[in-house]
Amino acid sequence: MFNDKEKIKKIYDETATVIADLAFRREITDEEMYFLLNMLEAIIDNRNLSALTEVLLEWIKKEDKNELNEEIKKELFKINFKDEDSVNEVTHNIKKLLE
Amino acid sequence: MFIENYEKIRENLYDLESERRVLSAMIHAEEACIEAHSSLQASDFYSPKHATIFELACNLYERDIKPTYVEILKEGHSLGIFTNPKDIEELKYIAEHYIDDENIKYWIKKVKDKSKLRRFETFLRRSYFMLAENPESDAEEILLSAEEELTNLTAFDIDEKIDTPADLAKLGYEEVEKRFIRFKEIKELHKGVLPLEGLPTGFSYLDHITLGYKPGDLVILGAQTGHGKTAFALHTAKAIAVDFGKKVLYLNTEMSRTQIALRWGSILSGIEHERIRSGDINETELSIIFNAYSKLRDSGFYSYPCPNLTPEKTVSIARKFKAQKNIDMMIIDYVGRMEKQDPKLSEWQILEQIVKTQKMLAQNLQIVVMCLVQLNPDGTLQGAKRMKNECDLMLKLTPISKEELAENEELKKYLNPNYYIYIEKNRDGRSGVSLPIQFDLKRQIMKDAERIQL
Repeated sequence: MFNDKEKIKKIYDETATVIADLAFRREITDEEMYFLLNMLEAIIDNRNLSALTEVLLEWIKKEDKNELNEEIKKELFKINFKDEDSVNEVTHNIKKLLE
Repeated sequence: MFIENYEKIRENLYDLESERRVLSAMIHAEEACIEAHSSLQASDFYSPKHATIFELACNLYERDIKPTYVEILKEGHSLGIFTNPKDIEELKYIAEHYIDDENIKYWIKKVKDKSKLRRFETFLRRSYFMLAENPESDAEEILLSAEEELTNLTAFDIDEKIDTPADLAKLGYEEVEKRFIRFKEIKELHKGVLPLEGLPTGFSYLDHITLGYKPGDLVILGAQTGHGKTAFALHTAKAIAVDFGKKVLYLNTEMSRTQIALRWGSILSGIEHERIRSGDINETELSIIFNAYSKLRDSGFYSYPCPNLTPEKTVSIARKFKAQKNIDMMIIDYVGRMEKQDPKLSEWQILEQIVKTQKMLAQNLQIVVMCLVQLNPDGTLQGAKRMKNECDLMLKLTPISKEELAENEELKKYLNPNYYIYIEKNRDGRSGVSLPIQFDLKRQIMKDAERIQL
């Protein structure tokens, strides 16, 4: 049986591999891959991303979101997960776009 | 028969499990990175994929980025090394299956040993083919060349080098030529003042006698409790990292980050330390202090408060900072506060062990290591003889008594001297010299005592 630490590590490894595979198969762009890998690393580092996660969930649930997709992605690619201000700013901007 | 044995031999020339364990440990623990980075080279790995992962991990580590699975993926992708799922299969396997970062030295040794065996096998194979292709070769010549190659295999490690007579002669001439040109420069350009060979000491009289702290030097500075050990360390750091733009790593076993940061405020602004500590300053002074800290921000000063410092830890910290920041000097403030690894050892044995380690470190990394030690109340030093043997420069910082100030005619030629830097040992020059300095305790500032112009 896995303990919690091992479970988190397994999820981390599997997720990173899936993200890299998607990029190799050209199903996501390089930019999208870097963003997802950075976000994964930030989550594992226990950085507080709850506000960002909330707006991302809101985005996923939203109907007729096609026209917003590119703008939101542009915002997300600007994010620096090591800088709390950058995370807050991007979260705030996406929130505004979703309103 | 030969082919059968040869296959068996080949199987013993690599150990993929050990290679994976080293890489896995590097992915999971910084200590392992420090060890592997300083002990191995990519060519020590049998598997080309392992060699690539090792290089990627080292590249990241040198840039102060933890070589996690994700970071290695990103690095490999950005360099065009990982372009399809097959490229990352081995990395994925290593990241998922091995998390052992204990016994890293054991696994490194296994990888290194196999690498040496492979080089030995190459040597044997080459010799065998040489004999087969040139049966009439001169026996003496073959044996001599084989002996030289074999000696290199057994004697050389990554950073070991044996000087041939030609190497040494070349080095000798280059050194003399360098000094000849410098001497001419001193006479013509510097008007007789010797330029530094190493890092500035922060005192012009001391610079003049020592020609600076040189790479590979172990410097020991002794002072009694409350008589300026930390002030001397930070004065040195200021001279080198703030004024001279070189990189200094400062290990402090006693003070907190805040205490160290506040000391800098005083040293760089010239405002009394006590007033800065209590906040008893006016707005103009606050602005002066703000500007003073901008000098620290742009400097090469790295601080590492470390209350549980051991000699072993200093080695890995120094290696890490050498690889990532390319430090020129490490200051340990102070060795008496280092943790005892073995409680059965007596004080002098511990000090001896510490200074030996630090001297080796200074030479291997080609940095200056300065160790601060505590003097006994009578001005003597515990284990002094052994320390003196190991170090290149031994200095003592001692207060000048009022009686001496009143009686010593020589001291009257200086403006307000209150401390001596006594040069107890100097491998490259004069020793037994006392240099009067001014130590402003309130501002934690030290400087040469100025000579009174007559």
